[in-house]
Amino acid sequence: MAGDFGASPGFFTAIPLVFGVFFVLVLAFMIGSVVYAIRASRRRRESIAAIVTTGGLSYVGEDRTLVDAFVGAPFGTGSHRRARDVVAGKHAGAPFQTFAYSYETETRDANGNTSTTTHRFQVTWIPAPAPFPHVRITPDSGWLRAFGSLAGHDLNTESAEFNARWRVRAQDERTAHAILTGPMIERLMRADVRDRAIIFQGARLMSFAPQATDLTELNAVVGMLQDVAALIPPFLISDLNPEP
Amino acid sequence: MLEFIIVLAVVAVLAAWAVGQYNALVRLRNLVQESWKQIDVELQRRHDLIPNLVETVKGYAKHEKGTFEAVTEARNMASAPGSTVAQQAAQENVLTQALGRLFAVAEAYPDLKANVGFQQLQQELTNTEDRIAAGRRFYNANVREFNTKIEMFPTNVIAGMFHFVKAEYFEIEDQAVRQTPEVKF
Repeated sequence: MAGDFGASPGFFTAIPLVFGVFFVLVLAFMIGSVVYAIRASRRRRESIAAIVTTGGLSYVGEDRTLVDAFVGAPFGTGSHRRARDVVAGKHAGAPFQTFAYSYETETRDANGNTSTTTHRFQVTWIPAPAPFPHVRITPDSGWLRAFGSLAGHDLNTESAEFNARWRVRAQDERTAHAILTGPMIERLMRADVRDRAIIFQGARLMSFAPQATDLTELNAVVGMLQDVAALIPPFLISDLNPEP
Repeated sequence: MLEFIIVLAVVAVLAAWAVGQYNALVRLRNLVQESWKQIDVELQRRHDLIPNLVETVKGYAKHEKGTFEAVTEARNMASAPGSTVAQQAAQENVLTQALGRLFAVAEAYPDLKANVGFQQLQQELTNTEDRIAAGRRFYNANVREFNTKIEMFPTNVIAGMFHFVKAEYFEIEDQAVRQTPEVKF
């Protein structure tokens, strides 16, 4: 009899109902997530299209040559590497290019199940005034700490505040110290550079940030890169440029 | 027999570690010396520019004798050999102040400011001072690393055994970039 087991008959009919509601909720969440992602992607594309049109910029859906154009993280890792939504043009009379870069990594859990993670970044670069050795200035924050690695050790400047906020790695430490003048350090301590990596790499000065953006901050990012380029000491540009 | 092998292994590991630490200290000391030599080259270039600069300004402001003598004296002190790093820094700071007064004098003479030779000298001096500042940052970073390694345990044991001494920092006043005067017609 039901009383011998301490549960009423209603309890057993409620169990499938609970699972059913749970299943519906999970399904609704999954469908909602997919719809949200599709809508977000469409809003992003519309925003990019509007910025390209009003700014007189050029747009290419995908450019495979950009996948291998840069060295060092986040480039050169993972699989299915892509460079999409490539926008180029001029800001304050100087050229720039920005694109959404992504790659995939696979992880395997203890049960042997694999899961794929897509990593996305918004990469923006301008031509550097001289061919620089590789210098990476990355925020000392969790997600970017992994992308700061380069052969050698973390440079320390005379500013404790700067050292606490940034990690600097360089192929040529002398050049890195020449770049990090007082005004440069002041510029890099401003809030608009927070959570952005600044990379000097050959003839390019590049910045990247997590997540592909809708480019509403494009002018600010390009302006920041141009500020950094303008603060490079003239003697360094002269020394690094090949003699005519 | 086993104990002997263990002792031998421990001694070998300690010896390898000691050799590694010694070599690291030698490498850092050489880096400090090399980066100082780079600064020295730029300081010498700065000293070499000053006589021409003084002569150019003299051509327009003959009566500012005190200023010219101060610059020349400071330049001679700074370029004299045998100074320690700290002494050199102090002498360069005196020279920087004297140059500041010289450029303040030049501000009162528009013809001088428009002089192409003066502008070129001023730009060369600015570039040289920027190089000195960059060299100083690199040198001081190497000194910091070297001194830290000498002081930290257990490397300080090796440093003490082989008489490694701390290097001096090069502390000079960083100059703001002097803009080439704009010639306005």
